[in-house]
Amino acid sequence: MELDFDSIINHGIKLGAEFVDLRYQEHLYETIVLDNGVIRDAGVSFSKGIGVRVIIGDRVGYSFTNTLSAENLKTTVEKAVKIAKSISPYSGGVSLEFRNMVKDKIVSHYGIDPFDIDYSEKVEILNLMYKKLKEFQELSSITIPYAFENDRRVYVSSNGDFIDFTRRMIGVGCRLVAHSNNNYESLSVSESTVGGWEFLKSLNLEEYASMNAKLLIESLTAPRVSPGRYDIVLDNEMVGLMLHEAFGHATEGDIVEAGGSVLVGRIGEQVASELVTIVDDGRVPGGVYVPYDDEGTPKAKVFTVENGVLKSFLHSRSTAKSLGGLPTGNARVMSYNHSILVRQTNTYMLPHDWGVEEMIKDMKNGLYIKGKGALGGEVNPLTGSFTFTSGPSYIVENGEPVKLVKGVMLSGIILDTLKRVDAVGKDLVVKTSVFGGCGKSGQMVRVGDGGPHVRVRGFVLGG
Amino acid sequence: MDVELLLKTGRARGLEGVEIYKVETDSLTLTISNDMVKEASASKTFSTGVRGYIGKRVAGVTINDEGLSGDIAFEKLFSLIRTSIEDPNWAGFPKPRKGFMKIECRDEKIVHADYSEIMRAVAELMEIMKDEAVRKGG
Repeated sequence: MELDFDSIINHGIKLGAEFVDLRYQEHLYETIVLDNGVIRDAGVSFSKGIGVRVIIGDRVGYSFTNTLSAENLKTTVEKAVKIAKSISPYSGGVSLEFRNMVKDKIVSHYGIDPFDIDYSEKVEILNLMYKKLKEFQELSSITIPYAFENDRRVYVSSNGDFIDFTRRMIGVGCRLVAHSNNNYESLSVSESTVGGWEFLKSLNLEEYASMNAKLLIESLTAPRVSPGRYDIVLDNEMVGLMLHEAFGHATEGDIVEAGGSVLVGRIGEQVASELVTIVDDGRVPGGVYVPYDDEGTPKAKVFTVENGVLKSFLHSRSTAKSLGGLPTGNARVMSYNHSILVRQTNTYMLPHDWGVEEMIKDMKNGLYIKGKGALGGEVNPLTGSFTFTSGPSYIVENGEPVKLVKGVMLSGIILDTLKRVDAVGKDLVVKTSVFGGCGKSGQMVRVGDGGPHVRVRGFVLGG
Repeated sequence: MDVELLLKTGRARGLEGVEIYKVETDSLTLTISNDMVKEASASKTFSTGVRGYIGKRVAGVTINDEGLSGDIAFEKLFSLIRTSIEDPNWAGFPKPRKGFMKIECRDEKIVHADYSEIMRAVAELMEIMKDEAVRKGG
């Protein structure tokens, strides 16, 4: 039964709210983890609830619940109103940038709903991967996760907005540990998409498993690269990881507003090579699909950097107002029971004109840094400093990748790194994941990232 | 979603063991930064976990949707159990305690406290903590 959103909003207005918006969510998350041939974690989580935000004057009150009786929904609005009224002496003011009313209903594309597929078929696919991986004696641990998410969000506001959006995401991966002669290496990879069961059927998962096992086993005996300054070519995944973590967070309006970004006060400044154009886009193939944010703002394709010049930050309606921008559709919540934060959607660099082989050949000597199996790292948006560890990568000699090396540690200052870019490939790849996402202030949201291959001159590697 | 009913349904459908974990929460959360309430939110939520096993096959579902019927939840649970590979180390649930345990850890006075009073109290607490920090820090 659909909730009577109008009566919830009207109740808030009657109690004195000047603005009310509702975030209703129905969420299903299904996961199966095949751990060394045994299903360790098979479960499905169903949740449904609603979050209410009211604004009175310039004060905000939030309230949320998953007890959806008419009586409790009234109480929930009343709590939000009480908070907005009582918070006044203790909080700063908030106001929202105007935008036009929006009404829309969107269901992301899918062929076969994975929820309708029997578990036995899902387990069979994971078992096929497991059997293939068991052929590799060097593998000491094999974990194969599968996940499916169905996320329906309805946004309704007292301004007349009504957006009903459903997104399905599915994915599979493998986490492998290999050892040989006291050498241990691990590799964690996954493939996800916004779509349905047909995605898994389209993949050759045995080949995928086998390819990753071979890479991991080969990396067991691979040497480490000597620390130093190198010319490097970063692959699509590595570019995405670095842009999202080291640059993207610094463009988030709430971080800028709090003075925590290296980009504060630098709009219009050359912050990267002229070859670099970076966008945040909710509708790119391969990425997470975000046509509207959780304030109902249509997601704009935001050029944060255009030809090396810092052009825009990412905004909610609130940060747009306070920083003098336009709402960009980046106000997001993890679920109905969280409050708005400014978040990235899909962060990527626009492609240029270099072929990958051409770029490596032209580099002559250096490293080809791969993102597959990359580990997380540390970033500081205030300084733009970062440290990441890549996946197994290749030494390049005389224009050819000649030898595999273990994952390398990349550290630097992002604005310096972006200025050292001297070639941008024409091969755009953006990826997302149903297994995780981006964490910020206790909220995890699905994101995507990527780019073309990119060459950076004189980069410091830690070995 | 009634806990006893879920238990009975699970047993009636043939689970050897079934456990239900339900949490109901009323909360008021204040985030304070630089002497100001940066954000305040109130909530009333519940969460129910159902886990069951047959032999050495075990699975679980989480329900945070009061509109979901117990039948759908158990249908999924059975489907998961049927397709699970046996866990050779599964030893079943711990032996049951005697009787149903209901643990109350909520104070109605706090649950129904006036928000203005709470915010005033938190502001005062912040002042006390700052004074204390200044005093101790010299």
